[in-house]
Order: sequence, then structure tokens, then C-alpha cells
Amino acid sequence: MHKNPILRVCTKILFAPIILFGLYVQFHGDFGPGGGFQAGVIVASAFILYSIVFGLDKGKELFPSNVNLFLLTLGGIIYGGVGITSMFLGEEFLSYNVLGSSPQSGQHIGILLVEFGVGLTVSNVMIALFNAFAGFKSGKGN
Amino acid sequence: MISSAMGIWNYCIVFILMMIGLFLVIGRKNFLKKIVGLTIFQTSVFLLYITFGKITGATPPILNEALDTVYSNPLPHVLILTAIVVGVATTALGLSLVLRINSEYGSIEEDDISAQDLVEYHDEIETSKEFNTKFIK
Amino acid sequence: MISELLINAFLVTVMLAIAIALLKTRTVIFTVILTSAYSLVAALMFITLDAVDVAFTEASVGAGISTILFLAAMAYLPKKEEENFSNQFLPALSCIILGAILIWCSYDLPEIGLISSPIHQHIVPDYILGSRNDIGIPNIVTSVLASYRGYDTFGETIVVFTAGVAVLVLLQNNKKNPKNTKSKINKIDKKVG
Repeated sequence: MHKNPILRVCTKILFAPIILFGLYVQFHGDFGPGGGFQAGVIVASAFILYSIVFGLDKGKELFPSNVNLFLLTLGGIIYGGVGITSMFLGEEFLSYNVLGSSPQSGQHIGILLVEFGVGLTVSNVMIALFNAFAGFKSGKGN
Repeated sequence: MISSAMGIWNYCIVFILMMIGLFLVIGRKNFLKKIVGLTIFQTSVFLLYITFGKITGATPPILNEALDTVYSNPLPHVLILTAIVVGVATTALGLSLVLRINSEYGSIEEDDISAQDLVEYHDEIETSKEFNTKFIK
Repeated sequence: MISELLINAFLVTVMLAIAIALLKTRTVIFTVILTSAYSLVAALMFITLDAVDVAFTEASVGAGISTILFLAAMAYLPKKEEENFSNQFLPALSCIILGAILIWCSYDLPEIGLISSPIHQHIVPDYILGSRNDIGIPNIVTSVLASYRGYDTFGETIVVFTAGVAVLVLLQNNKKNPKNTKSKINKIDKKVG
């Protein structure tokens, strides 16, 4: 944990805006540059910043590992689930036309859900990677 | 004329970067340097793809109201976008392998590791020989 | 037009300079920082080539997260690279020959920025029209990524997931380390002796 008060205060101030920016990138990806991949990385960077400044244990208190692992798998399941839902509604795998009342709104809903799944997986994979690297205990001499 | 010269310059540098990456992978013995070489090779390939997608005077591929706008090719962008994220995931996998190797061998130099392997292999042969002779006795 | 190309050429040259510096340096921290700078210049390069989404991704992933991962891994690794110039001649020679062949072949590649080159003819006009009419999403990259090439993105997501799980498995602290074969043989040896 860092003793430097400037770092700690800045981290606390920056934490929420970073996540807000991540959500903006996630849900504004249809209209401007952005999407699930970038948003996932930005949201993950907020948690990684918190872990770097306040220590790995505090970071795990904020975002427990089991929640992390659960969300990691949930992203892929959401993506696959959208595909299978469209199969049950009588179309091919991952064709979103049947998800809404009109083909265009179906496409909108499908793309939003799919991007959300991608963002969830990517952000949690990045957090899990950082936790694994930072918490690695060198087993030399075992 | 100038644009064609620039085009050739762009391609040349991309290929030189690619070869620098390849050299870091096959010429250096340090595993971390090898992973950095892979990253450089990867980025130069991305650059090559994006260069193919460029159209002079076009706008980025985000639709606007005008119907006659020329957009740059979005297909390479899609391919590379996903490749970048997969690239960092595989880089992390490589780094974790390097960490495991370092904790087992205490070194990430290729020569050190192969020397240690050789010593261990010979030791194993020796011990198994002793073992056999004791058993036979 | 010309200024765009000049900026392009300048950035590409900066990338070359960073790569050459990477060849020379032997300190791990410089290697990591130079890799980060390389990614950042590549992101600028992507902006001049009209790939805003890719630039965004490269800046956040390549220059951000990947540097953090390198730094986190660096903490456990030796800080200096060993210098041995033993047999670098053969790799260097093969790289130079391969590079020369590739540059020679690049004269057959289509010129940059021509609208008549083959890559722009096949399916992309359909995507651009379809993104406006069928999908109704302004960002063509998103519509191709999530809708037209949804299978592709599904596969990539699963690859990211698998890589994450593999790293978790590799870096788990396993307390019961299986003893290596040598000590096992020694144990048997003791028992027999």
C-alpha cells in the first residue's frame, strides 16, 4: 500500500470517472469508436489502478476473486446465450433479426447484448490476469 | 508520384519491423526479449493490414448523413481489433510460462536452461544406472 | 493529402527507431517502456490510416494493459539480459535475406490509398450499405464485428477466456509441489540401500 496521500486521493477521485468512461465506450460503441473490447479494458484498468495503489488485498476486498471468476464465465455465456436464443426463435445461430419486433431493433438488441458479453469477459480476464501476476509467489527452492 | 514513394516507404518499414521482431525471436536467448519480439512482429502485421484498408481522402468508417461519402475499408479494422485483444491475452500466457520457467530453473536464458537440462539428464542416467546395479546385486 | 502522408512516413520512421533501440538495449525496464512507446506510436499511426477503433484498442490494450502485465511479470525476473554474441550471425543473415525478399515482393502490392485495389471491391460495399439499411448502426466496424462476423468474435472471446483461465492455472500457488524425478530416485535409492 502506498503512503503517498496524493496518489491515494487521486485514485479515489479517478476511480468512478474511469468506470463511467468505460460504460460510455461500451454503450456508445454503436455510434462512435468503441465497443466491448475497449470498454472491458478501460473498466479493468480502474480496478487495476485501485489494486496497484491500495494493495492487492484491498483490491480483492473491493472485487472478490470468486465474483471475478463468475463474471468471467458469464460473459461468454451471455454471448452464446444470445446465439442460442435466436436459434430457439427459429433463425440461425447468432442472427439477431428475430430478437426484436422489427429486424432493425432485433439487430440493435443483439449487438448490445453481445458487446456486453464481450466487455464482461474481457474486463474480468484482464483483472484476473493482473491478480494472477501480482499475487504470484515465486516457488524457487521448493 | 510522392504518394507512391510514400507507399513503398510504408511497406518497406513494415517489413523491416517484421524482420526485427523475427530476429528478436530467433536470435536472442532471453525469453522476455523473445516475447517482446513477438509483440513487435504482431504490431507490424497489424500495420500492414490497416495500410491495405486505407483509401486516400476517405473518412473513418462511421456513417454520416451524406450518401456519397467514401469510407475506408472497415474489414481489416474488424480483424485487427479482435487480434489485438487476443494478442495481449496470448502475451500474458507467454509471460506466465516465462515466470514458471524462472521459478523452476532460476533463469530465463535459453543457454542456462538447456545446460541445466543436460546436467539433470546425465544425473538421471547415472542414478538409474546405480539403481540398476544395486538391484542386480 | 501530402501532409497526411508525411505524418504517416514520420510516424513509421519513429517506429523503426524504437525497434532499433529495442534491438540495442539489454535492460529489462527499458525494453518494457520501449515496447509501450512502440504501441503508442502504432496507435497514432492507426489514426492517420483512418482506423479509429483500432487506434483506440491499441492505445488502451497495447500501451496500457500489456505494459502493466509486463511490469508485473518483470518484478519476478532478472533485471538484466545476459550478453552473449555467440551465434547471432545465422539468425541475422536469415532475417536479412527474408526481409529483402519481402521488400522485393512488396513492389507487386497495390499502391496505398487507391480505391481500385482488390481489397475494396469484394464484400465491403455490401457491408457499408447493409450497415445503413439492414442494421441501422452508424459505426460500420461495430456492425461487422458483432453482426456480420459474430461467429468470429465469439471465437475470439472464447480465446481470451481460455488464455485467462490458462494463466490462472499456470500461476496458481500449488503448495504441494510434486518433487522432481531426481529426488524421487534418491528416495528409492535410500530405501534400497
